[in-house]
Amino acid sequence: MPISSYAIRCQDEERQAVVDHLHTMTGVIVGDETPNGIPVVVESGTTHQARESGELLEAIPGVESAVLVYHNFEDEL
Amino acid sequence: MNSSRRDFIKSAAMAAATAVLGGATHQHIHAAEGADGLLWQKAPCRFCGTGCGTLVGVKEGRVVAVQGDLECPVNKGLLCVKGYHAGVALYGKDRLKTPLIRKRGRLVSCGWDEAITAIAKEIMRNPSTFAVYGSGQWTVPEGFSVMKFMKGGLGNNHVDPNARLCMASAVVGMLTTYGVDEPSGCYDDFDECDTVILWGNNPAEMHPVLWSRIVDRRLKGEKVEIVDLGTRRTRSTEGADHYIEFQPQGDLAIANGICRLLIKWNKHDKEWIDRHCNIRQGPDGVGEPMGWDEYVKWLDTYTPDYVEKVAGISERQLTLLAELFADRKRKVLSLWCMGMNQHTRGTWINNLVYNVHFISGQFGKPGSTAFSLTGQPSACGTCREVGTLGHALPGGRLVAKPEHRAQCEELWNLPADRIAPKPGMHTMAMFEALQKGDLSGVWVQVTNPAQTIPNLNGFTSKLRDRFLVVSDVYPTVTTDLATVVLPSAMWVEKNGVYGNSERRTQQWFKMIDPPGLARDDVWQVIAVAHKLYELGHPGMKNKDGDFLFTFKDSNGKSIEAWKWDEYKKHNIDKLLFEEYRPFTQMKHKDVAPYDELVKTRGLRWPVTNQNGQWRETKRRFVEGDDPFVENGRGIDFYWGKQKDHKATIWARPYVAPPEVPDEEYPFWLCTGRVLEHWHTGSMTRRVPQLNAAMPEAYVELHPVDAAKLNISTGDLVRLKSRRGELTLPAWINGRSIPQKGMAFVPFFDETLLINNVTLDAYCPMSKEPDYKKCAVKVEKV
Repeated sequence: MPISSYAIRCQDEERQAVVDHLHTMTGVIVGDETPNGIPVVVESGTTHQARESGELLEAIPGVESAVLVYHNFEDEL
Repeated sequence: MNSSRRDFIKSAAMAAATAVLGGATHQHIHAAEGADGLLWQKAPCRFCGTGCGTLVGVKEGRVVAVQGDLECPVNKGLLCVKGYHAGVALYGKDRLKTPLIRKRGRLVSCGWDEAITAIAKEIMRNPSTFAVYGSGQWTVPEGFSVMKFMKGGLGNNHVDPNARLCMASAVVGMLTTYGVDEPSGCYDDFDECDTVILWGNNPAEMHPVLWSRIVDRRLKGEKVEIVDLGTRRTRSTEGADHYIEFQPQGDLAIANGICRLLIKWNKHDKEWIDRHCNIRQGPDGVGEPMGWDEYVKWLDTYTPDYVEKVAGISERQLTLLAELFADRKRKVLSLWCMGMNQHTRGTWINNLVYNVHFISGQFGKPGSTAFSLTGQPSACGTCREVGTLGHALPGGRLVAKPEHRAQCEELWNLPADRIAPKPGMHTMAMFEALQKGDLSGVWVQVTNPAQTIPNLNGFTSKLRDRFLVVSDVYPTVTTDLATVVLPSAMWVEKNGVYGNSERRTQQWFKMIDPPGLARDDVWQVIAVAHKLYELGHPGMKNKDGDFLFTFKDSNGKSIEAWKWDEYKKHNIDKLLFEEYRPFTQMKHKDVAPYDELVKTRGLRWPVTNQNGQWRETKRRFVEGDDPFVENGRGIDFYWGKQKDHKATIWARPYVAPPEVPDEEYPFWLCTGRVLEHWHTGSMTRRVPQLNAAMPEAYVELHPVDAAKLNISTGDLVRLKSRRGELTLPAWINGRSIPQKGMAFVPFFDETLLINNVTLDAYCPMSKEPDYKKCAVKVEKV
């Protein structure tokens, strides 16, 4: 099960809506917000789902960027 | 993985993301065990030329995790999608794990001794017609060992890299502009500029971390104005404030048009120009002097009307560009990569972009510079700095100069006149010679020319008939043609040193063993050299009669590095790098000692020792930063070609491309890359996530053209040029939109070889081919 984390950046006025959206997503853990953005961890069933999760994060209304920071794929090898 | 371990990993993942966002102190990792039970070590990413720092997590001898390195000033913890999958790229199911040799028409497994002996015997038969074709993915020690083997050993200068295909025009542009290769500026300028001009550049896909370094500043409330000057709308266009679409090759006229307006408005920086520039005219790198008034008159051709006629941009758009450069309060950064370099006048357009910055005085100040990006991780560190080019010797030296050959012979402890005075072949000449049989064989390392050479039918169809050695990590269309295939170690399976786009030299240690019988490319070169030594080749001895690659350990004992078990016990990379380091000092490209690189996330050369401390240089030629600048000069182009400490403003005209659309072939064809795949996809196509995201090549058309031809997304389209044809699916209104009258095709797909269609015309100065424009017809199948 790949485990990834992302740094999500958005405009301040969009932040709460983005956080609310993140909380509705399966396998997504939302971390403590920082002034620069929202850290999230995504636990996926497969590598394909991991990729799709990244695309879904990018597609959240108000998200400027969702950048991968950490990727553990030890179960995939 | 059990639940408590998953929890550990999730905590580590969250800590990493929080740290990147500035919310926590990140742990300093130097070969340290993390909370997740992995052993973490630093390594630069092995894909593009950005030089992002990664931290690689190893468990039980396998890479199982990758994270961005927060301590690396290049990327500050961020990575792109390719970087995160650099670890997965090691584990494709079809990794080459054993040497292969062609027998009765088929490649069959063999032992290393058989493979090395076969190569050495072939070189003994044809030492002067054997070439090496290398790569901007060569590590510094890999490139350096090949140079010593070929130029210092065989006395054969036929060494050239694939970097000829991607940044040679930038190199010759810098050499002709300020007399020495590599940029003046650095990535800090990305943080300090307020205006960015993208000259045919798509960093959102090709250099995404650098792109985020610019656009993320807007989220902090900083104003960064971006102008996308391109021939097609891309992801970068989405982040730009202005999109200015020009006709292919029109960039030459646009740059001259900007200079004309600056001078006409009296907004040029005459004091800066007088102090730091000379002016020359002519088509080559020598030229003739030109006076200021003569230059101003020469520019008169480039009126807005003329620029509109040949480049297709309006007077308003040209004025906008000129106004940005004219504003002395602005700090303007120009960026470019293949869009400008892969150009039949690639050297000229490089010169002209420097002209714009010099004439406006937008140079040598934080945020104000002209910066050439590179596409491979060590195109700069290895190809340009080590000098793995037909005409070059390490450290900015030239084969043609007797004193440079003598210096290399001295540093390598070779007898006088070992190095041949005639430059070797450049890439296109090399493949033409292989086609004709003038070269008998070639050793290809870390690259895939049977996919990337333009007009493939004309240049690679006879490769199978030559003695073709290929060192690689996966099967490719080039290994398919090989006589001998050598399985190579990849990235963190070996020690390495890379040099990135901003002169940063980055070191890493081997973390895991290569699979099967795969071995380091450096070892492969030393092993072939030693076999030649055993066979009696005189070039494989140094001046003392010892083997060319003689190394001593810290106790002064000789290391038999040609024996794999011995090689593995020592850090031969360090020994080669320290052997290379003195070569870098002549041209003030002084790299840091290996041990200093171990301690850091890379250092930008020139690195000099000041009061016992090793100090890097952010901006070359700038007083107070570059230690080689003479006091009081401010800006000092100390390698200026006219020996006047000045850079050259070149009068380079607009000329039409060699092939333009006509009635029979009415479309432009432009080729390039995509975010998910790196170059020919030989590694990224093995990463399931990346391959699923971008499984095959496609052709993009402007929606108006597509409608006229009744072509929709998914329809098969035949592209035909005077050289070949290719049928592939259409993607309309997809990721990017080419201008009307243009088709765009990425080149990553080995099953859809667009280089059967492209043109082999190249810049006469840099010898870099133009993959961005030729004429094709487009037909729905």
